[in-house]
Amino acid sequence: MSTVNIDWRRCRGHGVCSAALRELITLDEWGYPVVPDPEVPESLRNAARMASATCPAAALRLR
Amino acid sequence: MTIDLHPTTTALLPGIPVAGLPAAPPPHHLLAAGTLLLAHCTPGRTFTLGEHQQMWGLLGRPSVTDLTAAADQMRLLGAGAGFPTAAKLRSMSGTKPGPVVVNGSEGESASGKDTVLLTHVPHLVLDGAVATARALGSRRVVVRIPAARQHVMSIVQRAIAERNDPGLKITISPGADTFIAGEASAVISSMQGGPALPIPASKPPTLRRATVMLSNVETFARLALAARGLALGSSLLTVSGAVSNAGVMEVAPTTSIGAVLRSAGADDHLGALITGGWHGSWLSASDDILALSANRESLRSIGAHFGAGALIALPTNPCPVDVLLAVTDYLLAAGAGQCGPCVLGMSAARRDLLLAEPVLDRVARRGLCAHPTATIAALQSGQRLLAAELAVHAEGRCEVTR
Repeated sequence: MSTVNIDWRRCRGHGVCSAALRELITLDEWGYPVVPDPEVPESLRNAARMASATCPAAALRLR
Repeated sequence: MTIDLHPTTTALLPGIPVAGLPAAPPPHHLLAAGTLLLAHCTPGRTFTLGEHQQMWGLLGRPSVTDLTAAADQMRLLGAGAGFPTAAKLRSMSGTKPGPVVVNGSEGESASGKDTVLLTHVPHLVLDGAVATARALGSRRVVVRIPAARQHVMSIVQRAIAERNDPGLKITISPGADTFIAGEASAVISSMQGGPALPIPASKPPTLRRATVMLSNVETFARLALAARGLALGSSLLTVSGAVSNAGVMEVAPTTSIGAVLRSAGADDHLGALITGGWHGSWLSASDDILALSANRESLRSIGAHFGAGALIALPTNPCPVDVLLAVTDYLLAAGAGQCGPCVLGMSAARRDLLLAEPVLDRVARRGLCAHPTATIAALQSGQRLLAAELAVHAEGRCEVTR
């Protein structure tokens, strides 16, 4: 099982990840991601890949 | 508005200006001989290799198993977050050994113990690092010291020149002198030629694919005792603030906080007390608190931090709220500024404090290092202690300076 990891040095709070993966990622009051549980279940693998690929800051990684 | 200052007070907090008082110099000197690591020390004088060996005997070559067991028995913990040293040693097994890094960054301006150990008993610190390097199969020991502390670097350099540790290279790595520069991954980053800021790092940290054993100066001094099979303890404290003699002292772990403060010449009536440094806990200077033993377990029993052993006595004037706000500004400015949630979350926490609204943790461990979360915890602790005064301040009044 992979996990969602955010590189906080790169993240600029675009919020695209939350739109692509709202089951795992919500946004705080400034639009930065909040990930209560970083584990990606099998059913969300493709959505997680999409979220990682579309992050404008290349800050979201799956490990 | 006139402020009636304590007559002898010309500076109060090490590294932090407050209420028109300039920042006090860092408490980097020894107040008196200690009980264990600093036993028989004369303040300002460095033990030579000969004197050191006369006191402690020659350093053996414990295996990693023996050293780990001894660290376990001593319940040796890292000075900052209190991570068990034995667990750190265990996590290194089976990895490619890189340098052993003695982290003497001591960016905490209210702490002086690491500098005092390096300038008084450098061979005890180096023995701990050498024993660790030998046990792990590492060939390099690096002592990280802020470049601005020339006198510390030259004392350690002289100590290195006195020694003969076959097969080992011991060097000094000059570093930055900021609050955050001593964070483990920030040290690794700057050793790689990067900025002295936290980086995403593996645990245990690696440098050029080799595992780094990085710990603070005190931990290595205690490992030198562990390597000799001596499972003895002591409390290493730095006292500052409203005291006549700010500096470092080493006492038996059962010594009370009150006794420690008295021997540093603390004011009779204190406004509050911070334990564990600027990231630490705000406590009332009540009899109950002053009667507590000045050690990690005893402070933990009341949910307070021991951290690197910094105790800061706060006077009744200037107002402790002014001190809390000055400390807040210092901690905010000390941030690396790399992570959005931290920058925004710490600023929002400061606003909560000024408005006397509950300080919320909007950072929630999002970020590369522990600084923002620890800062918010410290602000929450200050707010708990000073809730009534903060509410008065939020209305633009102050009980102390009205």
